[in-house]
Amino acid sequence: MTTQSPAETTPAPSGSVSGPSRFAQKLLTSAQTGRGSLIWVRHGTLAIAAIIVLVIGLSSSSSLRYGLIYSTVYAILILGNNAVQVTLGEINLGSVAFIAFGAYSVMMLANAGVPSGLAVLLGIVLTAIVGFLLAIPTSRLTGLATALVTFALSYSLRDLAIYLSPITGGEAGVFVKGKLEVFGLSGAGADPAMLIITVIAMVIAGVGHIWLLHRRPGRVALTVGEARHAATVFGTPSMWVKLGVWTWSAALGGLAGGIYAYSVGFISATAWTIMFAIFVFVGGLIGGTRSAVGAWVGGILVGGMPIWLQKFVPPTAATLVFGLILVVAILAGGKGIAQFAERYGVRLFLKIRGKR
Amino acid sequence: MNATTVPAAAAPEVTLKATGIDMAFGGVKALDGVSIQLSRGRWTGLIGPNGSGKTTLLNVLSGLYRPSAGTIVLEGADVSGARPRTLSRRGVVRTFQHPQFAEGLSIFDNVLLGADLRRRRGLQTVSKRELEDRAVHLLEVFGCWAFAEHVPSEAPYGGRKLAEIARAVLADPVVLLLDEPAAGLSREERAELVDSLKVIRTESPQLAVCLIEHDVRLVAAACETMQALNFGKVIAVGASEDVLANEDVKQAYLGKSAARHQKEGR
Repeated sequence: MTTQSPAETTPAPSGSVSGPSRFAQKLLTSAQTGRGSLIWVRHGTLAIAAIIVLVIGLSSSSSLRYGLIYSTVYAILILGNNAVQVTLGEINLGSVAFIAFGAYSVMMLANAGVPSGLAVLLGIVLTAIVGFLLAIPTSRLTGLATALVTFALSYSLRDLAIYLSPITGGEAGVFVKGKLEVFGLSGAGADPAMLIITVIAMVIAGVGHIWLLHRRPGRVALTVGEARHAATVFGTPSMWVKLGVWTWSAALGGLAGGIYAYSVGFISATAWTIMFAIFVFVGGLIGGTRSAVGAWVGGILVGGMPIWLQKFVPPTAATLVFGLILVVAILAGGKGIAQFAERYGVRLFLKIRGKR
Repeated sequence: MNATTVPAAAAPEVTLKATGIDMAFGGVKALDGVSIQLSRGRWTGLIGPNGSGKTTLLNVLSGLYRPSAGTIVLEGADVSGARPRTLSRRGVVRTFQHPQFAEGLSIFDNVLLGADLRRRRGLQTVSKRELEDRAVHLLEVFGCWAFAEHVPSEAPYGGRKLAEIARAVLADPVVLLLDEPAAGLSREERAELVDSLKVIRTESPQLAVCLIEHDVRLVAAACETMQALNFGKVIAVGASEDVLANEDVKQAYLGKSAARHQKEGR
């Protein structure tokens, strides 16, 4: 298990495991599972992450701000993707379909004159419905089959968008009219207001993720994903739980798509590649699949870093450097950077507490 | 082989009655016309050598397998072919030979799955706090409280098996199906199990229990009635001591010649 001080150790009853006190064990298990006692710490770190992103973004150049907005869009998408991965244990490579559907929905609604806030809201609802419908066949699959089906979805998406070019604009793309107006703010592209809106959206999504994972829905979904037979014989409506998780994942994809539509301002079929979906998957692994802040870290790494690296190294070398950074991050992080930080933080806290 | 029926004490109210259950996997008949009766407040041991069909029968009774023939009546209602979800909501709860826990949850959170089922069953409203207190109590009874905050892989194997029973009891079942709860347990854990089962028996006097176990001494200590299976057929049913003394049962466990030697005192 983990580092423990004499002060944290209680005698173990016979036939049980020995180890730290109940309080310490709760913290250690919480850091391990991404649930439990550290819930308020997770809310706190999410708030701190939001403040850091805002301070850096609002005090820097528009290109860096745009990078942060784009990374945060990735982070929202990663958060949705992680829900499927963490609770159901499935590999979802179809996240790009959700963001694309959200982006196209919002673009069409906005260009038809629907107020931007309502367009994003409807985009989320429509994408959630699509996610629910797609989940009906998908959630019957497990393991590699899910990965292959969602891979096929992402792989065919670009061609599908080109085929539907009268609606989607194909490779030539379509501009999104106007600005996103919500929370009394109005922004598009790399506007400071756009960053604030994006960060607020990420915080809302992050709080939702934390709440769902820590409360009963998360517990039930984890049981369905990790102890299928137990869930079945204890009357858990496994299929509905799976549909719920996929729908939540799609809704976050729709939210990411809506913000993408206004921040990029232009939607083209060329954006929806299989690499997009793989980056989302990898971002989740690197950041930490159970952590909201981890999704943000993952989003910044996969969304922003490849672009920023090109400022320092040639574009061809940037890919190599980026790949190396990902390998190092995975080797160092284990379950992801955020969860590694949590575990280390808890051990450090217990060590300091034990010395007092 | 015809089943030998040994008269038992006056039968209490029948909770679950399965009659003429057949179950085949391809060409292999795992259950052949098996009948079993579980009664309110009575503990029934299900014994038999490996491959005799015990766990298959439990899978049928809990709805994981749909039998090819036979009927199952639960508290007067025909539930033949019902899904696990339906059966669990009617109060049929089980454990597994190998503990089924979510690794992403602590043992305590895993045990709360029983509380979820209790809630779904629409039993008398109990607050979340009361259910959690009950979970703590059951984990203490089964000697699992010490590692309740650990993830399953950090808990001892025997402890996980005991925690699984705590989870099942937390659902406040009508019928409890225990699949080899003592398998893999240390001597101390077995003693803990026997004591815990006694507590459960006292606290839930109406519970109908079916206990599968290879440790026949443990079954005899816990159950007043027993049923023995061999090659998917019932070979004996009745009071525990009578079933254990049954020649067919001895032969099934020990082999024909060994059973004869035992009988002859050699």
